[in-house]
Amino acid sequence: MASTSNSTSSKIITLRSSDGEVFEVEESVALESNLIRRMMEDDCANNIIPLPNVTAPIFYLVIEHCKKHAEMKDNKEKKKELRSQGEELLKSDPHTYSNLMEAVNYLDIKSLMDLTAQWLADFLKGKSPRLIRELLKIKNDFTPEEEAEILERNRWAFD
Amino acid sequence: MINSHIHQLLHNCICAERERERERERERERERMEETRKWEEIEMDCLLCIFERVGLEDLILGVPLVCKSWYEASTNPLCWKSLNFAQLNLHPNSHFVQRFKRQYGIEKFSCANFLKFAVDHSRQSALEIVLPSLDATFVSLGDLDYLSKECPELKRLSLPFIMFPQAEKHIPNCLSKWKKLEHLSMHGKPISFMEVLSELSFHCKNFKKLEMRGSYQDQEALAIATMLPKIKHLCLSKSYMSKEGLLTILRGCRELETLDVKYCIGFKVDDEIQKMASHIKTFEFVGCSLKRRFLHGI
Repeated sequence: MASTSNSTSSKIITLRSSDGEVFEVEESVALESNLIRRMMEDDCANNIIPLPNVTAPIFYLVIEHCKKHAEMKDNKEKKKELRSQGEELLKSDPHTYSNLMEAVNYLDIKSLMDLTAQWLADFLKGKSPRLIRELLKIKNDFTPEEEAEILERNRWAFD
Repeated sequence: MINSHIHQLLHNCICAERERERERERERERERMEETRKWEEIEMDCLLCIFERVGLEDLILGVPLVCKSWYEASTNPLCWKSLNFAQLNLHPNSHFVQRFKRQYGIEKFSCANFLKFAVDHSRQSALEIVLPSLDATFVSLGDLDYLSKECPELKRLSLPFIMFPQAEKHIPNCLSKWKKLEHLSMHGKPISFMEVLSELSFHCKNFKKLEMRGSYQDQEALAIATMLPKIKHLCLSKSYMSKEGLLTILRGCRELETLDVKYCIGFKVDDEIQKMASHIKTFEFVGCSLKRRFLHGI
């Protein structure tokens, strides 16, 4: 009896990233993703689950975060650690951070989406548009006319 | 001669192979660059998830002017569901107001217009409004009217300590338009308290939480018990109320999950009260006393 419950708890799910790498992930971790949960309910459980929108390096990051997030429940130290890692990634490699967020969004992992969005919201706090562009390497694609139009559109309440 | 020719051929082969390898590497690099989506191209869902967390100041001064896609996202009503004006310093000389005026080229700033500006962005889908607690000039009768018309989905409302009496009297009229209101928080009990209760009981079927500090007569405690019998959370800390009043509430509101009467004056929590409150998950009553402390010894 004990052995059966043991074997179910450590069930392994096989997933394949868009660039063909195969990952073996514990079911408890994989099920954090609502997308994977839905796919398993649709009976893909015995096959390799394809993830056409996620590359291997990004998927690796997602799994790391999921594992840490599971550990961090009721553990303030771990929570801090995960947060500082997230902030570090945001500063050193903002593009990878945006890919991470998109992958989390695609895989539909609510807890991780809340976390990564909150970190970024905190990061943006009090920063000017120019500084945000500089730090996240964003191109200013407004023409001066468009910028003036936005400001004009927002002035109506004060005229 | 032949030897050196073969050597040359081999060398060429190796060079060509190296060149091909370099080309493949460049190809991979290009692919990687394409895979690496940039912040201006990130999916709208992700941006909305971030922007609903940034707060009014950054939603107004920071993110809209970063790039086109960010501007687009910042105009989505989802980002304006929670309007917490208490986080902003709306004094005419504050850093925020100065920045706001400079950025948008506004000459005349007024709190009422700023309220309209923010509420308009929510396009009738605001769920939460927190008004600043100390500025009496902020909330006029007209502002309340505007909020009640423009925020039909409102679930949580927090009103300030000082209000014009006219505006306080007007609150019951607004409640009939906030049918989805669940949580009302007021820093002081309004003069229209009884009308507020009856409007809440009549119009707001999902009402769950009342936070209000004040002096409660026994008949007002009875009104809470009879008009809000299904209330889940009641926060009356630092209020005045008699023991009889508290017992009336405990007898009437049997679905309470939270009752906060910290630092109340007028009763001490004894066995009788404890017994009546035994079903309440969170019952907080530190600092309760029969009389005001500073009256001791007089």
